[in-house]
Parts: sequence; C-alpha cells; structure tokens
Amino acid sequence: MQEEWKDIDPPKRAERFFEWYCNERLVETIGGDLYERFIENHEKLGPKKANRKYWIDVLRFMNRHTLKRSKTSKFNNMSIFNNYVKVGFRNLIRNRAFTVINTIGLSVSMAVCLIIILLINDQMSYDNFQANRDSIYRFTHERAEGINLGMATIPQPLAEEAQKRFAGMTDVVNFHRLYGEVINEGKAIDIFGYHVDPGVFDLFSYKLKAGNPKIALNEPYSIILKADIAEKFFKDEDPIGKTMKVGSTGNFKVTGVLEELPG
Amino acid sequence: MNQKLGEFEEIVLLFVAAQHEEAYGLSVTKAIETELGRSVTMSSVHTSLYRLEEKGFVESKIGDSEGKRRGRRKRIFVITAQGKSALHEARDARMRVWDMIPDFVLKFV
Repeated sequence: MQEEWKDIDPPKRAERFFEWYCNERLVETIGGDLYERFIENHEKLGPKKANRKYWIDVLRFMNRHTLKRSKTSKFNNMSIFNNYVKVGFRNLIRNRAFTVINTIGLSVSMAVCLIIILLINDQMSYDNFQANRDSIYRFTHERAEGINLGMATIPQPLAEEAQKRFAGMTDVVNFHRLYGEVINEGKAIDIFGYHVDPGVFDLFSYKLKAGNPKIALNEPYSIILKADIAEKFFKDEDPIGKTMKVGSTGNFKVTGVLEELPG
Repeated sequence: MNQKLGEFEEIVLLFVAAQHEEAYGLSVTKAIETELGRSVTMSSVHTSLYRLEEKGFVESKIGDSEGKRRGRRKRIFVITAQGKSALHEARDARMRVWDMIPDFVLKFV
C-alpha cells in the first residue's frame, strides 16, 4: 500500500523532454517536485488528468532559469567577437540616421537583386522542355539600308528555297499569324494562333493530349487547340472531328488538343 | 544592491520564512494554494524563488529526498538577512498606507 506509488510513471516523453532541456543544476530538485506533484494528482484526480498536468508543468517550467545555457565558451577568443558585436551595435545606435539610411538602402537593394535573380531564372527556364532547343533557329529580317527595324518576318517562299540550297536544315516550319472570332453560344470569342507547316511536331516537342501528331496537320484547314480553349468551346465533349468557323478565314476541323505547356 | 521586492515575490518570501528550513518549490506552492486559496503554478513559484535567490533574499541548498520523489533531493530555500529586512520594509510600507486610511472609512464596512 505504502510503496504503491513507486510503480507509477509519469509520461515518459515528458520526463525525457524535461531532462533534456533542463539545466543540470536544477534537474534533480525540480524533477523531484514534478514527480511529487504528479503522484499527488494521480491519487486525487486519476491517471489521465495527472498525466496532462504533468505535461503542462513540464512545458511551463521552460524559462531562463531552467534552460541550459552555455555561457562560458570553450574558446576564450569568442569574447572578442562578442565585443565586436556589442561595439557594432552601439555604433549603430549612436549614428541613428545613418543606420536607418543604410539599412533601408541595403534592404531595398537586396530586394531588387532577388527580383532580378527570379526574373533571370524565369527567363532562363523558358522553353527548356524543347528537346531540339540547341538546334532551332529563327530567320529574321534585316534591312541593308535605311532604318533597320529588326523583324522576324521573312518572305514566305524563302523556307522552301533555303532548304533546297543549303545543307543541314532538317525541318523548316513557317509560322503565320491567325486571328479570328469564333461564335460560341451566341458570343464572339477572339482566338489567336498560327498557321504552321505539318513538320512543326518534328521540330518542336509539343505534345498532344488527343490526336495523332503525325497526321494531325496533313490536311489543310486542320486545327489543334490548346486544352483550355478546347474546354471552353466544347466543354466535356470530345473536340476531335468537330468544326469551328474562325472569322472569315474558313471552317477548321479540330484534329488535336495540345497538352498544357510545362513551366 | 537594494533590490525591490515584487508583490508575488513577497508572498513567496513570506512562506519561505514561515516554513523555515523546510521550504522548497512544491511546499511553497501547496501552502499558497491552501492558505491563500490562490491557484498558482509550480513553475511560477520556482521562477520567483530563483529570482529571489538572484536578488539575494534567499539562499538555497540541497536538502533531503523525503517524500514521494524517487530519491530526488529537494532544493531547500532559506531566507537571508537581506530577505528579512526586505520583508520588514514591505510590511512597514504597507502599514504606513494602512495608517493613512481615515478611521471612519474602515468603521462602517
């Protein structure tokens, strides 16, 4: 009867946690007090409440007296660093105006640097999914005389002619802008796209969610839609084989749905 | 040197003096709970005991391990001379305020 309490354990984890954080000087005496209180609660209130109270006590005991402190450093030369920190801080306080100017300037410049890093990082990651990205080139247009406006437009026959005359061009693809309104459920929706040559899927690594890239563009008036556009026009229906009228250009037959572009 | 005594510290110090040579964290906590009917956490009592020790009002020593504590010893707190004079000072201050209260105010409670 008298020795019954000796078999009752407080929550193991709480005890271990307490022994871990507590200062060696106090761990025995506080631990004893905690245990005595725990046994008291155990007898009065039952194990469940006693366990909870033990946890609360353990957590509450964390303060500047009980926490371990390694105030005395092993290396004596640490004190000179502490002195530097202290003196630096005092100087900051003394020249308050300059401190404010410098900190604001430094933080703004650091923020700008971070933004630039993010921006460049974004630009460098652009179109990285293209498998042939090292060997894709774009024809541009430069005027020999007068004002030179760099433009990426070239005469249409150049594609064929260039492939005929120069070696090493595997695929040449023309891009030509396509705009138009598509009437959908009584509303006109502007869409924007490109007329392309069938070789576009050999040159670029765009993937199709639906449709076969090898034959999708073999016939004129075929169109491949982005996934979100296809969903907008055709909802849950399968868009393949449907036709849509784009502006005054003509009726297009949907032959593929483009997968979401990475990045 | 001349440290001030806080209100709660004063109560703790009073109990340390009352339980001469027997006061440790839990006993003071229990005394405050039973004698004053105040609910108080053990950690706050401990904290103020260490604070009192830092201020020099009490001294601590390792005591016996009597009680249900699995052989862990107690830290016994004893009031110092400085602590005693601080208690006197606190009481005198209180008495001075009591004396300032006009008689009739307290007569008709």
